[in-house]
Amino acid sequence: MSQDHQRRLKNFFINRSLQLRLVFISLGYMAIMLGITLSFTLLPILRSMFETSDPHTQYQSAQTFLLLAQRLVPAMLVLFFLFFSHLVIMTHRVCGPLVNFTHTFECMAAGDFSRRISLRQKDYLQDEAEMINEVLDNLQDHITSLQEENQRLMKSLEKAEADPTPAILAVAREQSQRINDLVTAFQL
Amino acid sequence: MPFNRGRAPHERETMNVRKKSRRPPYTKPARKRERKPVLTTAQLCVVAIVTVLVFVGGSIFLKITSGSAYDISTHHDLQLFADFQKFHHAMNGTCLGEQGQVIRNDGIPSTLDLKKYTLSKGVAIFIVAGAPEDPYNESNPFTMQAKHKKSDTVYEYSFATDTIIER
Repeated sequence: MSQDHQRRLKNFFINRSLQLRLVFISLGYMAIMLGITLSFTLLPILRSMFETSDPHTQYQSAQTFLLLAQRLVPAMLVLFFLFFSHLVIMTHRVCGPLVNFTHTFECMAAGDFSRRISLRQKDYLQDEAEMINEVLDNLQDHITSLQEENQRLMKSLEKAEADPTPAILAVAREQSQRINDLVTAFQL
Repeated sequence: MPFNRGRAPHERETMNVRKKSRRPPYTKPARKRERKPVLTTAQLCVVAIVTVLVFVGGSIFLKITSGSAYDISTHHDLQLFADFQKFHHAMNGTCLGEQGQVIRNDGIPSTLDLKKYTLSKGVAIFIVAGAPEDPYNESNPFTMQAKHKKSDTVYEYSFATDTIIER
């Protein structure tokens, strides 16, 4: 593995725009969920801590609140970090194939159907990549057949030009029909 | 049927096979891909402000509520310790500890050693004045102060007034 392809954090952000958006949005939702959880957990305790006149109840609530705060806050931070790491890895495994797809589509747009999508072992979208490769194989087969038929037709026409016998022209027409069949296979 | 049949000779001349190289397949002109910024400045500002607000707000909320919880614990411990001293005085005619002694549960060893009496975590109770044999002496009442190590609030109990005040 070359120096450039070592896994550093910046390498995990292949499509930074998309990945950071997904990461921020997901972290925002997680923050909301954690906020709701904390509210439902801590608010009743805080209520009994401040609104009760019984000192023993207040003391018990205060101790419970301190215990929960001491355990929940670090747990929350660890959860955030783990979720962030998970999001970076997950989006990396989606955006990596998408970059590969984009390069292949760019080649297709330029008329080059020879490029295939090859993904890493743990990347997502394996089925989709396989499907696109299959489509490219079919397209390449069609175009190769068209080119071959066209070559044959060219030769037949050259022969017909030199010696325009009905037999040669019949062959040329047949080849032209095959080209037509191949072309009409595409629905435009 | 030969395609030149019935055509004039000069027309036949024009039916030559095109020998020019094949026209290259049509390709759309390469579109210049626009590079969008990772996050726009406005989005970045919103994210930064929300993050800072959440962290600062959370920290302030935790600090205030934890401070109240520490104070409630300290107040409660001092009240319990005062009740314990009153009971001990009623039973034995003397209180436990002398001026300058401290019972604590904040990691530092206590100078007043009560083996079966434990304070809440972080709380320390100091005996600041008075004689244990005469705790109700009006000129020098038996007085104790309690403080939590994570709070600045000091509570004081005096046998003379039998109340806890905040210092």
